[in-house]
Amino acid sequence: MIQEFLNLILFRTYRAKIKQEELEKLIQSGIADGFLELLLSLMSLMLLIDKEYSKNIENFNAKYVFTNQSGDMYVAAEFEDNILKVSEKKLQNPTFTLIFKDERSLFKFLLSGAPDVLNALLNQEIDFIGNINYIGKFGFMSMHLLLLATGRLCPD
Amino acid sequence: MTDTQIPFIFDIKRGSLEDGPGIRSTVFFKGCPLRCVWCHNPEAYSADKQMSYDKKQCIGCGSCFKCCPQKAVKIKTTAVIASDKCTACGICAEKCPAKAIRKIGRKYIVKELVDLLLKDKEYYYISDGGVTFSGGEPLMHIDYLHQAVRELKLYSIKCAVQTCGYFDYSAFQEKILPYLDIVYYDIKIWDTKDHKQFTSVNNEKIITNFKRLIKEKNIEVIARTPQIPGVTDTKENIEEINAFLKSYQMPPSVILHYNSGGQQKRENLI
Amino acid sequence: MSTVTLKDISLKEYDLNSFENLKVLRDRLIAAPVEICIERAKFITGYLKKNNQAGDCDAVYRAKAVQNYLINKASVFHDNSLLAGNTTSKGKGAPVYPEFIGLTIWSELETISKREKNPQLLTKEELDILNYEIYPYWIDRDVLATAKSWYGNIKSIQLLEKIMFYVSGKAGCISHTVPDFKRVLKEGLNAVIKEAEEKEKEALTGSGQEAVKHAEFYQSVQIALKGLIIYSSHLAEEARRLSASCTDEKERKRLIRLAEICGQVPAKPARSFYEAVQCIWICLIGIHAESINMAISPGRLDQILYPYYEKDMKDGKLTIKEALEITGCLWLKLGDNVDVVPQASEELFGGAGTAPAVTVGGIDEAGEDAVNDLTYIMLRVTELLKTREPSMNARFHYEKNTREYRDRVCEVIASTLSAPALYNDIENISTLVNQGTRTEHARDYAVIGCVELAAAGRSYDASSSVIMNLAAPLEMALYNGRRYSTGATQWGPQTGEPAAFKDFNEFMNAYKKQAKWLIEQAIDLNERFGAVHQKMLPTPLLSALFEGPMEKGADLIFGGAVYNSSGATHVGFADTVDSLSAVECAVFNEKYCTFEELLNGIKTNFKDREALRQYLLKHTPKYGTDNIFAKKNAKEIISFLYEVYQSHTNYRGGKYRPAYWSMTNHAGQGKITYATPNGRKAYEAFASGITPVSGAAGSITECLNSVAALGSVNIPGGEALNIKFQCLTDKDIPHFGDYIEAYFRQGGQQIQFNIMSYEMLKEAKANPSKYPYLLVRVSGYSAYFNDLNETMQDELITRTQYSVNTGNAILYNK
Repeated sequence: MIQEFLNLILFRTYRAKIKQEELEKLIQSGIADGFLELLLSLMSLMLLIDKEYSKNIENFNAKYVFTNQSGDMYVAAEFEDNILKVSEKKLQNPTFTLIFKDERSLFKFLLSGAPDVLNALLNQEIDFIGNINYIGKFGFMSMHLLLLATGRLCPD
Repeated sequence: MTDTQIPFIFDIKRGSLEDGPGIRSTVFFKGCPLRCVWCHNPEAYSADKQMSYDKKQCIGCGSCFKCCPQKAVKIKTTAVIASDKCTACGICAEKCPAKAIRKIGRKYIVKELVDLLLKDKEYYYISDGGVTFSGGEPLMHIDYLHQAVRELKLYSIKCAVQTCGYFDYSAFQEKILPYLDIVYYDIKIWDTKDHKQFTSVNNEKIITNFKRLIKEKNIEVIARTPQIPGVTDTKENIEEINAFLKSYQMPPSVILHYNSGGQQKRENLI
Repeated sequence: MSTVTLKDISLKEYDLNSFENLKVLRDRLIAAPVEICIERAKFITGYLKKNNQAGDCDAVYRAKAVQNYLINKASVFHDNSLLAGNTTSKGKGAPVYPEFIGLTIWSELETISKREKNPQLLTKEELDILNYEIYPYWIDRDVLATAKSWYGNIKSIQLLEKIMFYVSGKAGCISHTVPDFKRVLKEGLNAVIKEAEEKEKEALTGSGQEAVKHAEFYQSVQIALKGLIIYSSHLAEEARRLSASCTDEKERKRLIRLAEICGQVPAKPARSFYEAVQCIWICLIGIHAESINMAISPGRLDQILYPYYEKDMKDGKLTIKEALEITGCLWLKLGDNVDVVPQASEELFGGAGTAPAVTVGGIDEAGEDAVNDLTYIMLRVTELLKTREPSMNARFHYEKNTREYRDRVCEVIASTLSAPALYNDIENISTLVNQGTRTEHARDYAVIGCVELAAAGRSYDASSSVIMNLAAPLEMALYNGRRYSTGATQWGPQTGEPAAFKDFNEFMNAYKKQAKWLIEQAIDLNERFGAVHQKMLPTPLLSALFEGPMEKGADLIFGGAVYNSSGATHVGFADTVDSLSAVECAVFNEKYCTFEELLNGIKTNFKDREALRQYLLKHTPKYGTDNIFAKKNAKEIISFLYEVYQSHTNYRGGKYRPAYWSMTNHAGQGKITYATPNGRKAYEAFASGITPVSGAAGSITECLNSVAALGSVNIPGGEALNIKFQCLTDKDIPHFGDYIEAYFRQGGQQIQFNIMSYEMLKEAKANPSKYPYLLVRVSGYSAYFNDLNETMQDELITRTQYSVNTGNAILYNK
């Protein structure tokens, strides 16, 4: 609630920039704790302030659940009405559920190259329920943030 | 043929282009009357079975140490085998998981050998190849060889031997020659004293056998000389050998390039 | 009667310098980066979005979408090739097929242009169209998503998504076939359209559902073919337009000629060799416009094009040089498209092009020697260009083809180091006849993609329907229905804990039970995907270029072809057979260890159990040798799998055909499979295709004999035997041919080579610039060594290398 309010109003560009820097630091340090929370909060901010980026969720309604194997970590990300709502709400019938071993494996899966994707799937670091295209899309959106944060996004 | 009469064979090479025309299998017998100092198959000297140990393959598991009845093995990260204690009983070779220790030499009853050689008969037929008998000296085992070549001839398989020339001519003439197509005949050293020095026998018998062989019909004889630096490849030796051959209207000797593979094998022999 | 008139069948007098442009075109093509092309996706998606099916049946709707694309497809002349037309809008393009696997690169759209292995360039503009317009339409509509929405999260789909059990080809394509070009060359597409029109009218007079379906089919054929003709006419227009502003006289003439040709074919009959080749190329473009290209194989081009070649030569209208050059241009065109590959797939399919297979030689339908001048022309072109495409295959009939032909093929292999692959006519023809193919049709067989067999232009074989990891049921037999990597998850049936097994038969039966269960899952999934394809993806254009559909009034997807089947190939055959033999020997026969000890060994990846691993590696029977247990077990698995598959009929009324080729799946699946009883360590690549495990067969004849002993009647889907020879000199050539012939005479079905040493490959890996376009035969198809991922490169490096002189396997020294 508060988060949504803040997202809508206060210093969004500034806060987005801070989060980008946090993300870059996190990636460089290799410590993945807090990665998911950071990614999603950055994503929801960017969807508000970056007009181009927000096109990604135009008419896009989908509910993602991210949870770890033990179940003690659970995040719901709902894309609806052109915004992203992040919560710990227990969703009925999510569009896509991603189950990860730990945040490190989630990070590797979303943001590294291929060998890790395959390994992640096969080392049981990652499992999923739903249409795999949805994580493809989410992966695109995440990768975009990563590239932005690490300065590797090249304008055409 | 009793078990004692069956010779040891230490290798059977299949699909080879090197030991005669076409695609061939080559059978290598243990046992040789010569002791050429350069021999690249030193495991062929002795007609008896022997053991070979390749330290590089050893994983230090100690199976050989545990089973050796002669207590000839010590383990220091890898096995160390005392050749003076070893009786070549072969138990360690059976137990060695990594096959670092191997038995050199295996007995095949004639039928078993022929069946094995016949597995590649399509290759022989299509390429005008066949079977070559080598070693060691294949003509040390006339009775056994006789049974094998006679059988192979029933399948129209062409046979060749690679010989050092030091063999019993009459037995060869009666029992092997009728079934043979090619003889590769080594004439290594012309000077008889040098011959004795480097191979442990003089070459009288070798030359005599050669003179008789080239008079025979229906057999192709190809003289060969291994190229051993400083020993056989001297100008003199080659000239003398070729002069001899020329006097019998034979072409010059085929030079065999030096094969240095014997060194490692010598080291591995127990 | 021999039709060979060439004085020198090796055509040595012609090399790359003999031709003006061929070398330049070739170098440019190979060096060109792959560019992702969205043109087709844009037009197809645009049409479907706009029109919403609106009363059209599936087939017509689809045909209209394809026609719309073809009409709007850009006519671009990227270079001065003698042939017009391109698969995509790019010089070397990777077209996106969103119906299939096009969305698998979604997450890497912004990195794919810069990724390390096989980058595929994507412009920002095209990226945005994919991301904002195309992908959102297909997110719930591609084949896999559709199947999931129809069927839910059923077991067979779960297994697919785990990857380590099997891959189901239909999620990515059907493709994998050899079309018929004879009719379009002889009569032109206008004749086919006319026939479709008449038959549609006739069907509309009939009653019942079937008549309606027939009418719909014929209607869809007309629509699709009209689109292709219009595309061709656009090519003609563009050529004419460009010629008008051309200053170079030669160039101008080339364009005017192309304008004429594209005005004639494919609408009207081909009147010359040149027109025939151009016609075939445009038809292939049409086929790729309709659906994804994975092993759409041109077939027996030396037979199909021969009448045109012969007539032109007789009339003095064509020279050998021109024939070489035109063929060379076709060869290069065949390489103008590759598949979009997400980085993860590089592990399983890395380095593959689309594997368009061309087949030469063999016998004709009457059973006589079919080798002709064109056979040698095509071999020479292959020898000169040394490109990955087409995938070259030479049929050899050892009673009817000449030794000169055989040895010439061997020369080309020695020169290219890896192409062509060789096929035993006697075995393959009888195998197809055994599958119900008429003898004349079987004699007219061609190779699909990697190594699969087709009754060319008559059989729809969907040869990549299943790609199964044979080590999966092995693990499930070892772990009572579970897989090592997924712990307690129960996948397959419970077949018992092996530690309690009293004899080997119990274990073999457990394996068979698991394998049968897994096969049934894979077949179930293939059938379901088949239904999805029938709804979503009929292929009227391809159906029109086939014998059968026009007679039956049914699209290929509804069983219109003369012959139908589904191919199921297997990965890890040698390792699985060796593992079964290892259990039989180590646990039950020799009692070297208990089953429990063996299981502990593999579960720990042999940590502190090196003696056990060495025993398994060196003392247990190996496929590829004369060992009777190895031979027995290999034969038993081959016959068992054959019986299981052949007891199933697919949705098109054809049988399932087992095969043993692996592309790069043996590296990919090996990488995700834990340690196995044959002594293989966790995550090591499997042996490829039907090839024995590296190092198992000590001599080449032993190796060849073992594979030949498996015969081919139980391998109707085709096999890939990969043999590496150290090097070949000229004097080795006749004996090289002898090895192959002796192998064929013993029943060997197929063989392909890499003529390269350990050292050479190691060097190529360490210094890629030293061997820039080294072509290797992977397991069925060719690839450039540098395009392969590390696991695959290592697998190729460590493959058993034989010396052609000694016949011995040369041990690999790390």
